[in-house]
Amino acid sequence: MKEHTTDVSLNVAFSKKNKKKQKILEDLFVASIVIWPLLLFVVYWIGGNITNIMLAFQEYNIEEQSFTFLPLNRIFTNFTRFFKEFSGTSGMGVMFGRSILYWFITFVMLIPHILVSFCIHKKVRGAGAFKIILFLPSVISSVVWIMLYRIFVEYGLPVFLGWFGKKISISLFMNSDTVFGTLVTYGIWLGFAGGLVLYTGAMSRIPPELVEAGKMDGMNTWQEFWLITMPLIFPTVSIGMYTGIVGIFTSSPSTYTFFGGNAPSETYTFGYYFFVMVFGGQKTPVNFPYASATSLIFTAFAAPTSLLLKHLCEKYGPNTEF
Amino acid sequence: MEKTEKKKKSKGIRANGLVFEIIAITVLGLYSFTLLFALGWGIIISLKDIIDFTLNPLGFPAELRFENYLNAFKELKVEVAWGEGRRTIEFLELLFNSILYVVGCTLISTYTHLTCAYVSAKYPRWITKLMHTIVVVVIAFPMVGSLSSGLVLLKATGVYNNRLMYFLYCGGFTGTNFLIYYSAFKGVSSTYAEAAKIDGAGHYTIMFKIMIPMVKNLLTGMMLLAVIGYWNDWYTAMVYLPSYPNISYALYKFQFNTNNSVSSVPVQTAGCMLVMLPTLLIFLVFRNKFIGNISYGGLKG
Repeated sequence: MKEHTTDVSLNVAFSKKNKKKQKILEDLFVASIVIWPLLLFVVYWIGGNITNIMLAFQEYNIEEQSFTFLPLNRIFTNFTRFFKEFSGTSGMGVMFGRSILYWFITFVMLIPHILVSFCIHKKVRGAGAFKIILFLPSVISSVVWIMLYRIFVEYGLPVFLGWFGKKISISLFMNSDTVFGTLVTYGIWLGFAGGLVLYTGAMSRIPPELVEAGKMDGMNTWQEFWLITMPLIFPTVSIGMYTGIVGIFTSSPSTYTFFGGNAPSETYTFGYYFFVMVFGGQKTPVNFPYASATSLIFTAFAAPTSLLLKHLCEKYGPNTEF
Repeated sequence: MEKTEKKKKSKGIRANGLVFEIIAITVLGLYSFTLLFALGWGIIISLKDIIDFTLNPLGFPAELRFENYLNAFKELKVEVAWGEGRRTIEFLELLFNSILYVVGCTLISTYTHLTCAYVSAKYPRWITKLMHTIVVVVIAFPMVGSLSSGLVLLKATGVYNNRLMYFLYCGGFTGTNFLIYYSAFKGVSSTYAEAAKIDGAGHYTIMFKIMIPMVKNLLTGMMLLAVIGYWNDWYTAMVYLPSYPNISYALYKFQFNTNNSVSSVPVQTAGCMLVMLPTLLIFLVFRNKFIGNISYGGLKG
């Protein structure tokens, strides 16, 4: 009896020790996986944002080739410069309008994205072939598409319109009235079937019995889209909606790919303007502090707007998880 | 009476389905035609003589000029700063740079996203929960990216213009891929892993031999997407790795080249065809792996 009791307590001690060892091994395993990615996050995400904030209050000293903090009486120079340029230069206002317009178009493009994915998901006739063709814009380099588009607009389109008795006297890329529209048209054309992977993926997870039940109640395809598909994929769609807010300040209709650093001013959006300011031209860091300050101003607008939209989506949007 | 109404209803649904199908096929068909036309026309142009192209841009070539491809092969090159001087990087080296960039970034980025998502889904502890929260917050809370601070930091940490360091820099976890893998691992049962654990398998063995194979379809699709994405990425070579240009960056520069032998549209188009060929082949061979099994799941903050 005594021997048995000793055995049990030994076992318990052993199992406790074993559990502790297992726990340590588990912790070591987790640590070995997460340590490098977490280090990168701390250095480049947190560190990057801290650097950005610091840069916004600095200026570049060309002689010493280094950044130094601005004196206290001029500490907000980079911020005030943006507001001065924004209110004083008519070009900035137009650029802002163009940025909003382009963002709005990309936002509206969510509708064809979802509808196209729905058609593929519903396996309309030829869906297999369409799926392959519609995926081509994501597979082939944007540079290839842009070169083909540019060649068509400059050489093919005049001949094509000529067949119908219409003439283009000047290339749409050279005409200041049409150049931005031409770039936007490219964006709409190539982005028509965007998000195919995500949305068809989300749709494929919809329980088929839901659709079957609806069909038994006389539901048609449009009703299926509005009453079942949209509410169930809404969490995926809403991510695109609220994360897309940043696009107002960062996106451009592939302007840099089309023109490099020499785009006509009629195509400027904030995204292009600040990219070229940092990267184009002389590539000196002189404009870095100003670009950092504007990115902070933009974040101050984009972050609360995006969070508000997220909140609204969650509060008023269809609340479904499946 | 009831039967007739039911029949009418089901006829209506079928008619509605037909209208939907006709509209869908028409719209998708027209759109697909424009994409195929662009590519097909590109192939035709790439085989034309410059005079033939100028006189008849939309027609078929009078004579096939395969030399355009040879010219494009010769002229796809980039001049870069190298030490104190400059050097020209030609097609084969560009190709090598592209392959190295694709392999390095795809492997490291996929490994870290996959493994971090795995431990977050299967090893609940404060650190792994924190990682999931970080990803959601980073996605939901937009910081308007500043290229300037990024460049300053990458230069300060030796990542700028250093290929190996850049590959290591790709080992983050905050992308949406994390959520895709996380969602997949959450749906995978731990029963096999538990059984293997009882049999004495270690954590790495369980992860590599049991759990990752369970999401291999998703993993293949995601890796193929990554390969294509990195192959087509000319931006990184331009901004962060200026001494190691890849083939996509060379193509980007190619369109602005004013050299007589290159500025001709047929040669430029031939260059496009050369660069897009690998990704197109990969896509056509593995097309079934791309679509259908990738999804975020619901993202709740």
